[in-house]
Amino acid sequence: MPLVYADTSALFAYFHPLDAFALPVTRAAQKLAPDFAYWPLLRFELRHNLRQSRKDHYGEIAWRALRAAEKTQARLRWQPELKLDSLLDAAEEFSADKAQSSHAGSMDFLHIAAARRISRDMDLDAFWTCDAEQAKTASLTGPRVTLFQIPKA
Amino acid sequence: MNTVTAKLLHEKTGQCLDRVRRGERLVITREGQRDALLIPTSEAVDPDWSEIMAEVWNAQANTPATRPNPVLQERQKRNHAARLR
Repeated sequence: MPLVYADTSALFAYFHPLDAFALPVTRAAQKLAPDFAYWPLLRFELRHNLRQSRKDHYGEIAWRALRAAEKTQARLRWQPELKLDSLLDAAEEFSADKAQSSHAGSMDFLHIAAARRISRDMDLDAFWTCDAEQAKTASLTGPRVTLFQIPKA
Repeated sequence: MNTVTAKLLHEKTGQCLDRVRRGERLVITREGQRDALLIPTSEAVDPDWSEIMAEVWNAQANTPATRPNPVLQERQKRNHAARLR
């Protein structure tokens, strides 16, 4: 099963059926059938946003799907070696190198640092994001980047 | 979940299988990498995404996607420095 690091923007769109990026992310996931890398920061950011979306039927559907995926060993593949303190150091180094040539924000850098750490130790098939600035920065380094765009009406 | 090296699994296969038969799940590592899972046959393997996401995909097919992505919105709000450049 391919392993993809999906930034929280893409994972949120995957789980929430009404997200503006839901369709392209779902199509890509149906085509590749990847497992997604999962670690504490990604879990926190994803759960936080999905909790806040639990205002209606669709938010509840998204939350149930996330919880079902979290119960698996592989669909959301837990990365025990990703620790926030060491990744903050890695993101800091990455920022020192690239911040002035990038418009991506600090969280973007942190997720890219995490993806780079995984790809150092194992095969990472792609980095998925809905964030254009993050995609530009990620493409300077690490795995193949997929940037999702809102489908034209 | 407990970890067992491939070497230990090779040397003590029976003991490892006894542990799994008692319900333990073992991660098999080789050269420090997590390579495989040993789980009891009574446990189901992970469901596919199509099973996990059935309700989401059904809702997506019947309703137009219209909501802005909150993760992007939050980051755009916070990322003042880059926007000032």
